[in-house]
This record gives sequence, C-alpha cells and structure tokens, in this order.
Amino acid sequence: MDESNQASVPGIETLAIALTNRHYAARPELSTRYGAAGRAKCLEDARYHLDYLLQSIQIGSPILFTAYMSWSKVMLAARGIPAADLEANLDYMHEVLAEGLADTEIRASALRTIAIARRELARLPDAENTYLGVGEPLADIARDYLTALLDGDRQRAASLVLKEVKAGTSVKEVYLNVFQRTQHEIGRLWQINRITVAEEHYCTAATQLIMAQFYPHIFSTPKIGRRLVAACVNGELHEISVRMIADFFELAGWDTYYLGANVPGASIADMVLRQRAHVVGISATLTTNLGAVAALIKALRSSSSANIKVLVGGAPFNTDPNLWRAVGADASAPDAEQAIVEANRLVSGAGK
Amino acid sequence: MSAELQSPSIVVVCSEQGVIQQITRDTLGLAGLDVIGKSFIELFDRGSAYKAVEFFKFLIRHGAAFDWELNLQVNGRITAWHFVGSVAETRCVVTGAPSSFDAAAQHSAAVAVHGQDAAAIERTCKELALWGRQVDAEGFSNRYDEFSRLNNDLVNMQRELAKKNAELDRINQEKNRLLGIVAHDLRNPLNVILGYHGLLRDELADVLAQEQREIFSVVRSSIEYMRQLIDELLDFAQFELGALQLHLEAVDVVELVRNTVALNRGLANRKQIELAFASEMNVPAVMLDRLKMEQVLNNIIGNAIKFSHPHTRIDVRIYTDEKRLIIRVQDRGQGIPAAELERLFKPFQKTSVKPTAGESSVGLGLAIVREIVNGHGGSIQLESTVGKGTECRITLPVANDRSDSLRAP
Repeated sequence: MDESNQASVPGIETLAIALTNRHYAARPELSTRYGAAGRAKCLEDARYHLDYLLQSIQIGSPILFTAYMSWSKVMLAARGIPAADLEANLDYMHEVLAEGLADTEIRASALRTIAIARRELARLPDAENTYLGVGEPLADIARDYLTALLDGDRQRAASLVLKEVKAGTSVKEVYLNVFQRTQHEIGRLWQINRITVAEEHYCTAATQLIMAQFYPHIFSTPKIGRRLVAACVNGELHEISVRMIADFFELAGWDTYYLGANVPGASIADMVLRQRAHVVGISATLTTNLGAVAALIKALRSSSSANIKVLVGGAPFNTDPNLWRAVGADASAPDAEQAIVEANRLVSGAGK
Repeated sequence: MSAELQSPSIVVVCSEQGVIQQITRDTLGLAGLDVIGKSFIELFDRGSAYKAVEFFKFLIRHGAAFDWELNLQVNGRITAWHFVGSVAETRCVVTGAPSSFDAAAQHSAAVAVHGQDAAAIERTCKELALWGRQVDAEGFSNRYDEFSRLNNDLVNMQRELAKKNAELDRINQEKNRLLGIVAHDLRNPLNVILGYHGLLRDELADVLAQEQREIFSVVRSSIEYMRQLIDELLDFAQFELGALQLHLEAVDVVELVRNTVALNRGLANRKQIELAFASEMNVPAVMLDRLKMEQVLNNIIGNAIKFSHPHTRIDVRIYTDEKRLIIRVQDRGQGIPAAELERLFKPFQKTSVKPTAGESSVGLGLAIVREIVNGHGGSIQLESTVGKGTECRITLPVANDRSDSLRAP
C-alpha cells in the first residue's frame, strides 16, 4: 500500500467526517430512517467519494469521478437510495471542500470536478443494461454459462465452453464473448444487488479455473521471441482481465510472465529485469489504484529497465483514453486484441 | 426499545424449509398478501432470489445470519433492507429493517418474544460485527497480501506446468519425426544388403560348405529382423504423429481372414500346429483398410503361433453380435500372466513368456495393432490363462457410422 499515494492526500478522514456531519445536519430525518449503522455507512461512502475525487484531481481526469458517480448511482438505486440523496451529497461535498481545502489549486480542481459530476449525474441512467443482450456473439452460451455458475455448477459451465471450442469456436472468441462478458455481467449483478460478494467471487474463481483448461491450447503456440510481464498493480485485486491479456499474448506467440493480483512494485520491476521483458503490462481496475500505477512506472523509468515499454489497461483507461500519458505509460489498449497491436508497435519502435 | 419498535421492520417465522409460518411484525403490509404457507424467498425481487436463497442457506448452516442486504418486493415496490436471522429448534426467525442496526435491535426483541436466548443472539451479532475490526487489529493487511501471493503462486505454477507440458508435447513430436526419418533412411540400405545377400548366396550355392550356408542363414534372419523392426518403428512413429491414414473400402472379412489364415498355415505347419478357421454365415461386408487389417491379423495369428507348443490347435473364428463383427483367435499355448496383459499394448513391452521356437519379437506389434483397430472404430481385448492359452478378440463396428470421422488419406 506504500506505493498508493493515498497517504499524500491530507485530511480525507477529516473531510469525510465533515461531509457526513453536513449531510446529517441538513437531513435530520436520516438518523431515524437509517439509525447509527446508516450514519457509519454514510461515512464509509464519503471516504470512497473523496478518495475517488482526489485521485481524479491528482491524475487530472475529472471524467473518472463522473464515471464513479455514475456507477454509484446505479449501485445505490438498487439498494433503495434515491439519486436525490447522491446529488445532495455532492452538493454538501462542494460546500465542505470549498471551506475545508486550503490549497487554492486543489480546491479549484475539486470544485470543478464536483460541478461536472453534479451536472452529469441527473442525465446519467440509474440502471445499467445487461452485458448478455440477445444478438451478441455467443450470447446463448454466455447466458447458460452464467446460469451454471450462479447455480454453483462449474462442471456444467466448463463443459459448455469446452464443447463450444471442440465444435470449432476459437479460444479467443470464448474469452471475449463468454468469459469477459459474463465477468462484466457478474459485476453488474453485484452492483444492482442481485448477487452476493461470495457469489461474485465463486463465479470469478470458477472462470479462472475453467480458463486453465484451455492452457494446453494456449501454450502450444510457436514463439516469436518477445516477452511480456503482466501484473495487477499493488492493491488491485481484479486480476482476471490481465490474465486474459497474458493468455492472448501467449496465443500471439509471446512468452508471458504473469504475476497476478496485488503485486508489489518491486516484484514487477524485478521480473521485468530478470526476464529481459520487452513490454510490461500493468492493470488497474479501480481509479484509487492509479497512484500506484504512476509510482510503479516512475520507479521503472529510474531503474536499469528504464527503456521498458509500458502498456496500461483497465476500466479507468477505457473511461479516459488519454490517461496513459498522465501515469507515464507508453500506451493503453481497450481490449486484449488491441493490446497486442500496441505492444508489437511499441517493440517495433514505431512512435505514437 | 419502544422507539425502535415503531420503526419500519418485518419479523417472519419460517420452517427450516423456508416456508412462512407466521408474521409477528409487519409495517410493510405483508398480512394482506396471503404469504403464510409460501416460501420466504418469494418476498424478494426475482433478481435477488439467488442472494435470498444464499441468505437462507447460510442461516440454516450456521444457526445465525447477520446483516444481509436484500431487495424486498412488496406490492410491486422494491425496497433494499438489511436482514438478520436466527434458528431455534426447527424454526427460523428472520427480521428485516432499513438498517443493520435496526434489524439487529428488532431481531433481539423478536427472538425474546419467541423464547430464544435474546442475549445469545445479540452477542453473536456483536461478535460478527466486531470480527472485521478484530481481524484488522491482528494485521489483516499482511494476511491479505500473503493470500494474494499464495493465489498468484498457484496460478503461476499452473501456467508454468501448462507451458512445460506443451514443451514436452513438442519434444515428443520432434522425437517421433526423427524416429521416422532415421527408420526410413535405414530401410533403403537394408533392402540393398538383403538383395546382395540373396544374390551371393545363390551364386555361391554350389561352393559353400554347410557351416558357411548356416552363416548366410543367420545373416538373412538378422536382416529380416532389422527390417521388421524398422517397419514397425516407421508405423509407430506415424501413429504417434497422428498420421494414421486409412484407405477404407467395403471388404469381405470372411475372405480376408480365410486368406490370412492360409498364408500363416505354412508357419503353423512347420511347428506342427493346427490352424483352423470357421465363420458364421451371412457376415456383412465391412468398411476396412484391407492392408492395415491384414497387418493386424498377421500379427495376432503370428503371435498365437509363436507362443504355442507343437501339436496344439489355434482356432480363428468370425461371428457377429448385433452391430459388431468379432474376429476371435484362440490358442492353447503357454498363456500370459494377468499382470502383463494390458502392458503388452504399450510400445516396446514384451511378455515374460518366451516364443516356443526362439522366434524374435520387437515389442511394437500390439501397440500398432491397437492403433489400427481403434482407428477403425473397433477395439481389441486379450484374455489369457497361464498354462491354458490366450484368446484375442478384435471387435469391429458393422454399421460403419464412423467413416466420416476417420482420418482421411
């Protein structure tokens, strides 16, 4: 956690308490409606809101905070919290930060970022469409696969996709249209309060195990002499997408060294050096982990692997396509296919 | 407590199967919905039914469940509430309220009414709520990192194993390819040697002494053994590379087996072994690769002769069984120990039993035979009793519905 720059942002806890107090002072009925536990929850939410806000400001990307608010709106709506409460919370946040932030530059950025999110919030939907819509490629398989996982039947889920590959569908298609899509859907189902965290974790773990059944196919591709080190940055637990990326690189003939979730920066740097990697792929799903990405890239640039090509990916980089510059990377890619194109371009020496 | 009792909440008493038996507190108007006798799960939004089922399963398994957020659906309206439950004897009491604090408080009051140990429930709830903080205090962060590392190590190990397996597969293929090349290159000069050997022997036939003739004979049998070895190595390398090619045609199996038996009769006669053939009538034609199946029959009948004593009998018989055709070769030879039977189908494995006339054996024949029979969609079985003899059954499908899936030339 030492690499995340949470510690360098002073007073989040103080601001969060002030925000919660302001919210409850303005809405005294909340105390009777939600009790002490409700207040504790409000404080917890305030911490998240401020953390996301300050990360967005530090990285210079207001759109990340708006995206987070959009996600929160859907998540809270499914738990019976109306959008008006969230909008009010943003208004109180504006007031608290206008008074509480001493640094004029940070204050101006914070207020501007809040204003953008507040303006967009009313326009943003309070529900998100399913990722398994009719007409998507392999939609039927993806739906059956997810149902099997939610039934706790991973054998059935595995046999569905194995049969599909045996029938001629490529492993890549299964990755993109079944695994990736159902992972997004599982996230959405948790977001709208349809499944528990335990179910979400079961589905993810089962998919990871099922992916491993394709390894004999993935690892038999002839090699082209290029090496990738891939990992989730310190603090980041959403690892399945970067594992998919590593598998796609293997299929494209790269030798890959996949380090997993929540990897300390020093371990990534060490592996880059030891394997004489051509590219390092760094993944962050949560905006709050962007500080750790920037810190890791900075450390790599000042190490003996200074010339390593750095490819970043994950939800924040999809939300803001220019974010890779802000963290000091060489490129980002919205999906596995594009990641390979970018990596090959970087290694071939073509500029961007 | 009185203020808490006025706040919104529901208290539902269910059976262990989740059937609602009683509603003891109800500020949502469940009473008007005729829910008694229905499943507890039906109170919830269809989409969060999975989560509600998990809540109930957890409750039954652990005797108590604390602070689950679930979407109630009452009169078409969805409300997210917090739920607490406990089990006493065969009844489950479940309390829902807008916050976990209210749900816990209401639940304590409710279970007191229902004769459960309210203090114990309250204690459990507090313990569960405190658990997170205690773990924090004990260095949750360290364990969390350690858990990540452990998981990463497992995944990496799995990936490395898969990589090594792929590498081993590749090396094995390469070995078979080289084996094929070497065997092929050895066969050509061997044929030249065999040709000149025959030429010399014939030209010198009149001048050779008996001892020299015997040397010629040993040279010839050695060359033939080498040729057999090379041919089998070539076949084996081909199968290992997945290159078994079958040229299928409709074959009169009775004729094929009868001819093969006739060809082997000379060999059997030399050892004074009777080689008998019989077949049932009206055996249908079967789609086979004639040459490959001849190779199979020669091997099986040849083995029976090799391991049989003089003055015994070998029966070769054809019969059908529903959609299968069976070729049975039965000898009254030495038999094979049971522990060796399955091993004999593996490459370079030989039985501990010796051929009765010192014949040679490479140890690849049965591995090749099984590949060919399997390639035809059939199977091969060996049954043997030491001292009594061996029975080999080759079973082939008559309705040749596998022809499409056979590897095409």
